[in-house]
Amino acid sequence: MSHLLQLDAFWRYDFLGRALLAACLMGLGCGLLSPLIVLRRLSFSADGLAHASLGGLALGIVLLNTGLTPTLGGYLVSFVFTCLVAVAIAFFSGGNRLQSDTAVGACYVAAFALGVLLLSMHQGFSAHLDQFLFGSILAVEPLECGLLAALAGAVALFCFLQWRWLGQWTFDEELARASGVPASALRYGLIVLIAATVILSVKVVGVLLVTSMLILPGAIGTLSARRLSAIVACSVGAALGSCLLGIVASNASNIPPGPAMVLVAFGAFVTAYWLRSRRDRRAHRAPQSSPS
Amino acid sequence: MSNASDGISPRCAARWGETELLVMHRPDCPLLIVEKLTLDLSGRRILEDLNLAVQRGEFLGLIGPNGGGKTSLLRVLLGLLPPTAGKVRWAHAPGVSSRIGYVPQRAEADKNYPLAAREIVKQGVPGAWPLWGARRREAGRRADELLASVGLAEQARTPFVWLSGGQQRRLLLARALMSQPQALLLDEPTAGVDAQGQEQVCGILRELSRQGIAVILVSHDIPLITAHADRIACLSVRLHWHGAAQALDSRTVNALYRCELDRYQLFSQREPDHVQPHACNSPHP
Repeated sequence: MSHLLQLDAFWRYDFLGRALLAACLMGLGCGLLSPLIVLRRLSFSADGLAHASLGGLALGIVLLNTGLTPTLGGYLVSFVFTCLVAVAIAFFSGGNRLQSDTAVGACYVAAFALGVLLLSMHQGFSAHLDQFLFGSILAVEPLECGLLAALAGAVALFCFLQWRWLGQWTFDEELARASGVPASALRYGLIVLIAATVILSVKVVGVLLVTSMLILPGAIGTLSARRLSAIVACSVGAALGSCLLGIVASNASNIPPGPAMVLVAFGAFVTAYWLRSRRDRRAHRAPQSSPS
Repeated sequence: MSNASDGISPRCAARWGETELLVMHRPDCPLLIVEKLTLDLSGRRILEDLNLAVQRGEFLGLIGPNGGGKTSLLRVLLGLLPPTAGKVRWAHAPGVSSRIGYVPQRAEADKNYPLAAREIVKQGVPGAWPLWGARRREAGRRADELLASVGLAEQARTPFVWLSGGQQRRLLLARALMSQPQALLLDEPTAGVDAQGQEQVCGILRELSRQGIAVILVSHDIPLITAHADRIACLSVRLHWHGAAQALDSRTVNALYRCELDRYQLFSQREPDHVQPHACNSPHP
């Protein structure tokens, strides 16, 4: 079995080991953030920030003139740019003039277009655009592994320190504020962590596919459990499992790792949905559980 | 029309907030003082020159027409809206919970929110860090007690969104009580609740009031409020009237709602033993 899956390759080749580590670290971060995104209905905002990060990465490449491979400076420029897009979304959706999803749609398309425009100014643009859109996990370097580890630690710390406040905030923002929960700080904290996650996940799954890793694990968790701790545990398990299975399948079958991870996660999501439907049908048949 | 400052000694009011010890040792000091409160939202006057005082253990009913500013007043009292002018002062006594419980009209959670009823009640425990060991077990035990007290023990594992509107409001009441608040603010908690549920909720509120928790209840259900509240405040941007529940007459209510309302219907719930089922229904002026 091990021979068939070519697991020994992950220990033999450094680049494969780094790819596996990067995928797991990304899975941990996405698995922790995803339930909050799903429960707070921020899926479209997360998608928008993922697309907007392309504009930031391109801006970093142009400003720092580093070629088509992002550096630490490039990641920082992209992070600031993505946060500015989030501020722009908050500005346009404030004041009761626009719905937030309209503001997200307007801003992320503009940022994405800026990214494509800036990248097109570089030679070899079309050959390298794919690596931004769909990732190039085998090209992950130790710097990116380190940054992903720091990010996973920051996300875990954020979730631990704000655990019960996050639970209240996902249920009802105004009720949480009335109970003394700093809802605005939690929202901004979550947005900053999402921005950092999408930027650092560009090499692992790309800006188009990272959205799925921010939504599917949380959706699996919310379909599978009724307690926040269990939801987050399911989400982290689903994200890590999808990343591991996806990258092993990719290595064994010579298929692109990013899409493989996403499709594994989607398979788990469909299974979780089917199991939930079955449980709900049973619960509704029981007189105690049905809504009166 | 009564003066809202009645019952507050000038010395007590003057020294309010200067020292917590003074507040604690003066039981006649109100828990809440609202002074000349004015609130404007989007250029519209919502509340104007409002003066109000609430004592510990007092049950205050807040009535008034739609758009009269009742919910906005609760939001100002909770610190969710900053007043345009005036002051809101809560007493904070050492060793006594300074928390304010809040039961909104409805929860914002969408129809797919997965958490079970018991988990929602446990969210009422103040603090940010996870609960471990004995504190976690204690929170679970208290959540079960509160669920039983609002008649939802059997629904503990049911997702919140599967509960009916009335059950959800009772659950939110249980959630608010998890923090052992010194005051409880409720925004139409009996709307959509059946007669038995209304009596149950009001019975709980009366008991809380007896335990020293101040209760501020917003409702359109005037018979219910007159039956259970100690005092009633009639609010329509300005405070039109406030005083003892027994002193509220149909003329005042008619003027407030600009409608006719039978005085018998107003006070038909005064004696809990003679509650008429129809009297629990809102008069919908």
